[in-house]
Amino acid sequence: MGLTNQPPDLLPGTLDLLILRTLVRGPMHGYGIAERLRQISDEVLHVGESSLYPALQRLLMNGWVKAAWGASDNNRRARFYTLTAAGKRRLDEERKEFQKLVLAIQKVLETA
Amino acid sequence: MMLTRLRAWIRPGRWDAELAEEIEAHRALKQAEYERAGMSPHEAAAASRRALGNVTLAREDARRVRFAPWLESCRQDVAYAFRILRRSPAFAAAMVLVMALGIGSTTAVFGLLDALVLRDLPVRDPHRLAYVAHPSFSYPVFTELKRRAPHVFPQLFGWNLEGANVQWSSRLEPAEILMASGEFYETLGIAPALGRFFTVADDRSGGGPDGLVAVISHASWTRRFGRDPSVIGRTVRIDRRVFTIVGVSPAGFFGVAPGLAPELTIPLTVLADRDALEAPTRSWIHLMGRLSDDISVERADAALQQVWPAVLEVTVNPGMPADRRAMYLGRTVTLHSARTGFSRVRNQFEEPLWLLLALVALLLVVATASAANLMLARAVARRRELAVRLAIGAGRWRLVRQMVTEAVVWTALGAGAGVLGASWAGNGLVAMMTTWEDPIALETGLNLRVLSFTAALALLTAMGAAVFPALRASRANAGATLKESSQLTGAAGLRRWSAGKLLVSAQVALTVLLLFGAALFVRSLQRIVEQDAGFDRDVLIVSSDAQAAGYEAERLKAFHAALLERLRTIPGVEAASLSEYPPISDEDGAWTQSIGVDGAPVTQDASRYVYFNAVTPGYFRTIGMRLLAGRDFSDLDTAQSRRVVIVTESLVRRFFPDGDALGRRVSVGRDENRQDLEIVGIVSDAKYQRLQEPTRRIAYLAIRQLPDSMRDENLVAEVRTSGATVAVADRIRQEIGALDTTVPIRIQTINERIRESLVTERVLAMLATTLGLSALALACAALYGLLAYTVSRQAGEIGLRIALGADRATVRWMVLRQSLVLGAVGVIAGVAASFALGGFARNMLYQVSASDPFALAAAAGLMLAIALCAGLLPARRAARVDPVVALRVD
Repeated sequence: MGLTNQPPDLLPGTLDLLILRTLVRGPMHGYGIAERLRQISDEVLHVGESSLYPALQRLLMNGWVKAAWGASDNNRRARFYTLTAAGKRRLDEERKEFQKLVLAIQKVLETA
Repeated sequence: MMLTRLRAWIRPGRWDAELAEEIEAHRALKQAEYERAGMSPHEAAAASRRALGNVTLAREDARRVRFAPWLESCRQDVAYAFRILRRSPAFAAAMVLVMALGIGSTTAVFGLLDALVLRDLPVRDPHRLAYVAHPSFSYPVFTELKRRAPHVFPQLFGWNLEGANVQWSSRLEPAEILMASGEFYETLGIAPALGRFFTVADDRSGGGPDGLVAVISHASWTRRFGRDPSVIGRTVRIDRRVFTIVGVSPAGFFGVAPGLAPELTIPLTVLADRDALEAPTRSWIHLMGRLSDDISVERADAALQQVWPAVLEVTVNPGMPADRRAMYLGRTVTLHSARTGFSRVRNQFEEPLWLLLALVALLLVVATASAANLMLARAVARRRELAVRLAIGAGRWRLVRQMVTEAVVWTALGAGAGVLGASWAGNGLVAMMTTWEDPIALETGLNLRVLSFTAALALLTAMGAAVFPALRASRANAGATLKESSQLTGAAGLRRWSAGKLLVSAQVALTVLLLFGAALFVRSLQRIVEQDAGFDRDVLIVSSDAQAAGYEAERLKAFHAALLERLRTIPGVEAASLSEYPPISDEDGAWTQSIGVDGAPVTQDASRYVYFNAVTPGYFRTIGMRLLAGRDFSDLDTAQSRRVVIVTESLVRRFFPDGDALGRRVSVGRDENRQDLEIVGIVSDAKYQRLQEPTRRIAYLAIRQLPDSMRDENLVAEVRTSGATVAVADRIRQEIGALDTTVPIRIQTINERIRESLVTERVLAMLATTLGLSALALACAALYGLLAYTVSRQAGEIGLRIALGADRATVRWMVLRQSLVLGAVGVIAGVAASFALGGFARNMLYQVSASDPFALAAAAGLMLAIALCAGLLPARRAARVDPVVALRVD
């Protein structure tokens, strides 16, 4: 598929997981998601727009989030993303998968 | 989810715009954040842009997320096809037109077949319905079957369509009325759109509690009353009786006979006389019913056979003579599924329509070949482009797919145009099949089945059109193609059998087949029309329906006498007469009886059947039949005088082989009803019902000698005119108007009656000819295209030959020969196919063999002539090639 903008410091697929998790709290626009991720991760995770928006499109296409235009805090038109039921299920699955992966990596790191 | 993707795929622009707006909103928020941190708006804007990074790349990525890659390349192919549409509109128009012609005509015919033959009746569970054949039964059989076979038919109804005169407001209009027994609507399981349906309670002689009631069809309610609900309670006169409209049938419901759309439905027995309700020999009711849930049509049929003899036994008239009785008890029945209804229109047109479908399918194949040829020519012209694309790494599969996609686009556009044309053409076809006597009403509207058929057809056509060009594209050899010059490639052009030539020859073959079919039908029609009718065809036939205007018995006789009187006084009228049946009685039917000779008893025997008509003196002279011996009827032949009869020469040949018939007696009827008639005249043979019939043996009686019971009928008038028939027809209208303005009349020439009786034959001949000529045009264009292309590719070789001293006539012949060879190969194949397939049309041909050599010669000759014409222009161009110019190219 040619070039991708997957940030090098994230494991593949992790960004989707993070976005879905962020949306659990309620509808958010793209900027809000980016800010939120940065805050929660204590400024560690800098999600570039170049990877955020393709990821959002992907989630949208898969039906895991819904998008609707609304007004942001400062009254600008912004697109708000909401988690769908399918998205919630997906989040659970991804979460389990991720935990398995992390455990596996930890195991490798500790024993190897 | 699929839907989201599809939407994004179809409207990429909108998605991109939304994404752009979203990212811009994001940037603005970021800018605001920077401003809060203390930057100047200008700095903040710049910083926010930097922070966002490569937005274009992000958008590209986002787009890639949206489209599966194959879907995206498909979109590109379609877009590419549309670009061709803009860049070579002539090519695109030709493709779409050819496809529209092929698919449209096939859809139109299939649409008719669907409406007439395939479509389920619009009622509840139509597959549980069954009808009883042979076609009609008496009322006693109906009641008896209801009583004895409830295990076969828990619900059974009788119905009939009958011509009647309906008076909606002031004028009487002839119309076909559906008469159905009280169980009709309940059995079919439909609900009224308005008001109520009639039931068993309404279905009794003279009417039920509400008197005479009628149900109006939805279409009629819409057309005549603009869907005004106040139609309930209105009255309408049907054959001079006043009916109250109590309900409106649901939209789309036409009864149980596809092709006929009666406006009014009335209970079966309200107008019936005692004879119709009691005589076991009066067969006038069709029977249809709903089978019990758990039995198949076959099992139901078996069960019906069990009770049938008893039904006959109970209903047989005890006074019947033994031979009649045996015949009555010998009647058999069979049960058929009535899922799609039961209709005489279907019986008349089903076979011709299937044949027509086969013919349009052939045209479609020709059109597909044309499309393939066009695409092939384009593929060749695009060889270099394709080779370049191959060279820079496009997959072969990708190129093939592109060809297929293009074909699908052309076909889809063509199918769209074709479907639009099809509903128009379908209505046109229905109009062609309709006659005054026999109006046909068919919903030719599109439905799922017709649309699926068209879609499947379009897909097949697209594949057919794409397969050759695609194969060529996949075989393209990048290196060789790019190296070769146009001169070198030309050399092979004329001789090798390329895909293009094969296609053209196939087209020629199919065209010959279609032309042959057309020639057969045209010749058959010609044969029929050329038949010696035995009378003149420009005689006017005046049909008046005085009974509808209330004339009966003596008043009816007086009306007819006055009518004849007035007709004879009109200037330009040479002679006038009255008769029971008009010449070419067609739908008016026939009157047949067995006769005995010289006092021998009359027996029921098909070989003794004779056709009867009753006429006034002067009938033979009026319509132009010759009196061969004896005399015509005269005013002296009355009810009081000796019974006389005039017979045709064929009748004489059959019953009086010694030729001496004048003064001999024939008898009709038996026992106390027996009548002896003396032959007083012999006339030349004439057609009775239609031109195609074998010569009938006809006996003419004097109207004034008919028993009164037989005289209570409308008579038709024949009028022989000198000069302008139109002016005379107007005068006739005036004269009848002067007698009584309420009497409905119709005036036509015998020739017009013949035309109406030949509607199936005419429609077939006309459509087959149209299809044949369309195919011919396509084949001609294909031949021309191929030759013109070959000549232009071959200019170098031709130039060389001319430079080396070849005669220009030789060059011309070289091209013409090519055209003829292509044509001849196709014609030979076509002739072979015609021999093989002609048999399918045999049933619809009259005195023409299904392998008629003249038709075959005409089809082959026309095709070869056209092939020659198609070659003329390219041949001339070849002969004009200037060697200097041609050899300098490249």
